[in-house]
Amino acid sequence: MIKKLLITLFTLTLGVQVYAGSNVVIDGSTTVLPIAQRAAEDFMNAHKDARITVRGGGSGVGITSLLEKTCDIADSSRPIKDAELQKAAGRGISPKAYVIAMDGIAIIVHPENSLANITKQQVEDIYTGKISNWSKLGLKDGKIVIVSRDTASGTFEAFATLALNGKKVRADALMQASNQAIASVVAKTPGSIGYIGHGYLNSAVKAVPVNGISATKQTILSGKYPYSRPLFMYTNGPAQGTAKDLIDFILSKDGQTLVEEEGFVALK
Amino acid sequence: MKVKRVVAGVVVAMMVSAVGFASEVDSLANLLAEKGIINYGEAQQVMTETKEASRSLIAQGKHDTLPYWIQNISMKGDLRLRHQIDWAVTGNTVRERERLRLRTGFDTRISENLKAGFGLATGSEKNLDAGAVTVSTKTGSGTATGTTIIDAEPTSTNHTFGNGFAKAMLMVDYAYLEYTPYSWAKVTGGKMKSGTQLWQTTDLQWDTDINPDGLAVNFTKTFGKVDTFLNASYLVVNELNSATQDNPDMTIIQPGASYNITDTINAKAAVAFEQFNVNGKYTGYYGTPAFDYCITAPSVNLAFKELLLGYSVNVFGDFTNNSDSKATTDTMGSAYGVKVGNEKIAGFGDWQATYLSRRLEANAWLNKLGDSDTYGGAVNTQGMEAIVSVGLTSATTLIFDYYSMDLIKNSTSLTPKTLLQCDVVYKF
Repeated sequence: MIKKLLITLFTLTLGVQVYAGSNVVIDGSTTVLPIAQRAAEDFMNAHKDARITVRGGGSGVGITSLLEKTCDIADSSRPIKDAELQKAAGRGISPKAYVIAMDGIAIIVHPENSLANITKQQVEDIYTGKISNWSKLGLKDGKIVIVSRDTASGTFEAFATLALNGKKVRADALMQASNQAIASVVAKTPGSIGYIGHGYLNSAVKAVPVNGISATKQTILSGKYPYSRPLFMYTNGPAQGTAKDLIDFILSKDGQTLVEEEGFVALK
Repeated sequence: MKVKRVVAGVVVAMMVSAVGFASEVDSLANLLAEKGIINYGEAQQVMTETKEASRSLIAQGKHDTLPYWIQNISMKGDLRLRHQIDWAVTGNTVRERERLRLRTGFDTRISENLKAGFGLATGSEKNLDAGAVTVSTKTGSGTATGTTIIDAEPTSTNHTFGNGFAKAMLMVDYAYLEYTPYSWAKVTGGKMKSGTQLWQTTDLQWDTDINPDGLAVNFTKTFGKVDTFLNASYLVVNELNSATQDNPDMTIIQPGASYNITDTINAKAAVAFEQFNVNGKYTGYYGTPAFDYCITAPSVNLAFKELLLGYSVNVFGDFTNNSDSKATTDTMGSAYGVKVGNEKIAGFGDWQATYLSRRLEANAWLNKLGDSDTYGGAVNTQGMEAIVSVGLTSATTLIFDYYSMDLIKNSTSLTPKTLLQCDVVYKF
């Protein structure tokens, strides 16, 4: 009798584990969102029993969801804050960080632009309106045409954080709906400046070194390039079950390939 | 893979053997990447994940190499240097003071859902030298005597320079226990931080230096896009040494809600019901209350991000009405205004400008409980306040705060009071 009861309990426990492990909720950063969505689609295609729900909303929303235990994985484009760690500790949650990709944003100009280098301060001044003419950078007199991603994009959010210290992009910037659109406008517009994810660089535009450092895979991975940052997935303790399988997939060769396809820098 | 395991092993060994392991891990990972043993992406993973794991362990008080008490205590504080100019009653006597405020605060987690907080700040309960020390002050026509410069208020955190380089007193600013049984419920007991007892947009009722004594419960619950909250508190005003009367106290209950109308517009509103039990039981710093204040106090804040040339705009207001049956006239008060500028002052050049109109009738609220810079926090006053804040560094702010106040009613004549505070505040 006791043996049957134990077997029943064991089976039920297993059943609960399978159920809990197969349903994964991902919440958080809009920057990481495209990676999470693509990874979830590919993963569910390969694992028919897996159900993965992916939501955006921002890094803070994702971390809050992790602390509220309403998601299994929190996407974040920034490290968890000290205050959030304190809250987590107060709720018995142990955030475990997984670096899944690197974000690197290249500064681009028209290919005929002779600009050989730009400083972080100059980028900030150009995008916030303090500098509006190329002559301020030692080039031929001419208005600087500002090209930017639209404010809803993760790339815009990343650029505002890394390059503008949270300041606003000047109101007359040409807002574009995609990285490709920015590259296209800059390629056709002498006097323009834009920014795109490293993965979208092409020969039609010229990438300008920032503080003397070019945006290469190595400088971004090492964190030496000024506009680079790690992208995270956080779990409560080491990832388990389907959440672990999903993160392992993202860190695999196939997963890192889709990371590059989404315009980010793969870790491998 | 084998190499990565070895690196991970070395990292774990370093984690348990040295406080400053993070930089050593960085050096090791970079060296291995430069030699081609691991790639730069793996190095970045090792460095970042090690750092994050260490931060998480410290937050949980589980780091092997740091004492438990260090991992569980966080500290913050600020230092404010102030030059204050008071234009006195007649308008031709100017009082100038140099003041400082030092505050330090500590939080320590006792268990997963229980923490203690305490803070120390400059201040003085009594005006120790009032009437004993006098100096000359500059006037329009020469000098005048008779102005006491050693000044103190029981709820103020200012230390005024004077009395031959006298040292500043340091007092317990707050000390409380906070219990969070659920993520949506928090109980705070002790001398709690200002704002725990209720949410308001101005210091019309409560000077922000006042950290009330008592018990507060805060509930939060989200329904779709609406964040609701309920604040309830029981505050002790004084101990009454009487066998026939209960102690003077007050109770507050305040329901409220916050709603994100769009990504850039937020509306927040609440109504506080505040009941004092002080009539005939209290005589002290707040005077001798003539009745038990029965207050209804709605508060509203409308926040627009990036509304004006990319700057944020806040429109806010607090209103108060005393409906105690003994208070028949002059029972209303209000403070409302607008704030424009950067959402936060996070660095050099960031700025905020605030304009605020105030009016607090004689029977609307307890005397001197409101902002002590507005006619000493007195009731029966009205006027305006203008504040300009400019960031000097990420931690330092320059603030100009100008008040122009006057009495609403006076049996003889109105007596305007105007003052300007020039502050440099450094947060650490």
